[in-house]
Amino acid sequence: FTQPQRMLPQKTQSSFGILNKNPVEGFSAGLIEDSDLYRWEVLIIGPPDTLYEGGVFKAHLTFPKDYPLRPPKMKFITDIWHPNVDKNGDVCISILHEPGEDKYGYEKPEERWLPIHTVETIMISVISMLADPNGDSPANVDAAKEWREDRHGAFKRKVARCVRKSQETAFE
Amino acid sequence: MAHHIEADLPASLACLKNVDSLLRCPICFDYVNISMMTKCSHNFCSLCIRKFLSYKLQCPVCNTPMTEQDLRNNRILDELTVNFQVARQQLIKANFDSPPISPKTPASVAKCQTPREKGQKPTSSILSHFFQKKVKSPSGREAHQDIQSRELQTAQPGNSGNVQTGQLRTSVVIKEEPMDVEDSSTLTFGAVKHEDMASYSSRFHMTNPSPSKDVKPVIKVECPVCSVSVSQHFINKHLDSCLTRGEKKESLRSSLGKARRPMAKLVYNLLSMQELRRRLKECQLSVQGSRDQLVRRHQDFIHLFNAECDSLNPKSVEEIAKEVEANEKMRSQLQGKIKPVMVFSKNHSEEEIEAMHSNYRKQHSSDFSRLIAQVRGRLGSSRQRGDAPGGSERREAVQESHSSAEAAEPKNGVVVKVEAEEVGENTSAAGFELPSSPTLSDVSISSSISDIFGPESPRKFEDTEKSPVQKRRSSSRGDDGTPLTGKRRRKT
Repeated sequence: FTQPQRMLPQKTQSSFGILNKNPVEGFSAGLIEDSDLYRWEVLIIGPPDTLYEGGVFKAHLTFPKDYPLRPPKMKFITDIWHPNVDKNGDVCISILHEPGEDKYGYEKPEERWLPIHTVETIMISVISMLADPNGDSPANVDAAKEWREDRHGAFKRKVARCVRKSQETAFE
Repeated sequence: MAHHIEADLPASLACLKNVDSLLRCPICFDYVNISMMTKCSHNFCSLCIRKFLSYKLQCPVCNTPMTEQDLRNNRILDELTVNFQVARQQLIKANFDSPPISPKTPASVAKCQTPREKGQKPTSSILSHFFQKKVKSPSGREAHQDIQSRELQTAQPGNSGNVQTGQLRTSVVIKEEPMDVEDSSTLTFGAVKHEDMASYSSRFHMTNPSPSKDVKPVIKVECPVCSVSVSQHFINKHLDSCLTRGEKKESLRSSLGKARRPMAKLVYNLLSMQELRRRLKECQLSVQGSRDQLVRRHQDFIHLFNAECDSLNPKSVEEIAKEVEANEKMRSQLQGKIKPVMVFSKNHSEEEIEAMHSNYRKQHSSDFSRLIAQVRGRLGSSRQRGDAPGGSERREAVQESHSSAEAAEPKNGVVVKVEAEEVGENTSAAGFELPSSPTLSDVSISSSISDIFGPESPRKFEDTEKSPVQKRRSSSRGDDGTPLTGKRRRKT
């Protein structure tokens, strides 16, 4: 019953419990292996009334050893064209940035990682990221540029392509 | 405190859900352990908040700037938590086991039966669940009372009943504690700490005390060196062993008062390796490893030590050192176990990345299909509802059932269903305008949409406005209200 062991399972499991009882719209999450609480897989359905509507996006969550003091990392395994997701699939949103440093300089502290966050709150942020990209801190510069300059043309077409592809690869 | 994963509250105890979550630390989601309150009135485990404050000097809940000096003990929360945990365990036990009907307490047996008969009526079964608990716990208390009075050899063994519960509560806190004689002979320093908790909880779980055990009332006195309460007979022995430990002498010197003073944080950059080792030795920590490891070890120790300073019965330096080292061992084991999932470097081409992603998707396809099935399962349940005539009427009935109380199990299922429906609606709304897709699954998704989307859509917004969490809260509040009135009714 030492601290790190106790902290992680308690927190992830209870957040998982919350998740089962109050599912946030449009996603589900689970452990990859029951023995390893540090690695999760999530499935996100593109939120309605967005360009990502209907997409079936697979992602991976890795928790650090000192969770919940430090944030997990999220990586999309399905290709997704989004200003805040880099080409490797790594998600770049303020809620997943560590509390200590402020390397980007313009994030409000309340938007950064706090230990009170859970898998559920992270998913809410990611889903709202899909609905409303943040052009100020692009992880995928090309996507951000398209989003700023040609949102309803090239950007929309590329997103539609990745949504379709995500549906095709949903059961591969 | 030993922590294991507790069973979920049974559905019939859903009314305690709020209390349960209020008593948990928002950082570790465990019951709060040595609670500390911030200036902004948020409560955390001492260790959790101290660890967090070494990252950032703000309240993790509301972001108010704060420092460790702003933290204050919230002892009543500690007591509430301990008492709630005990009560919770008893309630859960009472909920699952059939009540042990002891011949000693015929009154309680009689009481038990009436509400259970009432419970047969479908409309009042939640009430009856509450009744059962309400009735069982007094009978349990009587039993404890018996034990207690026997143990303490007090003058009023015959008294029983609800009037006495107040006295029982206080008797729990007093220092006169029953102790097994064998136990006290092994009274080393470490054992003393746990003894308090152990006897405390064991008294609550004890249902039939073995008469063979020789139980005596023991008067405890506080050790002037380590401030631990020790039985009067053994205080001299304890003092001898206490004083021979260097660490104790130090604590006597540094904190003559009752409270142990927290350790100051060090600026490790300014410490030489030699100095660092000396500090570690002072804390009875190992001096093996790299500088970073030593620093981390010392930091961990300070966190734990300072957190223990907030406790009424702080752990000894030796115990803390042991815990720090056990934690470190576990961390290194974990580190060995964690394998990097996918490692990318900057010079990977997009094709390579795509190939790796696709590989991963294939490897984990079963996991993902399970997740997809989960989302679709919610869709499926909402489709069933959509097919049924008068779906919205049924939903109203469903919400009523939170307060009017159907049997426990269906109620639980209902909560899931209502919420699942929202998910279903949204994902299906998404699917409604889907560009046509070749996979089978999508076909079934969109077919389910047309079933639900029409009849349900007017209600959709109303429902999504309320977050599921809020909904749960309001429903459990409803539960809170009903049993209370029920209880009153029973008394009259």
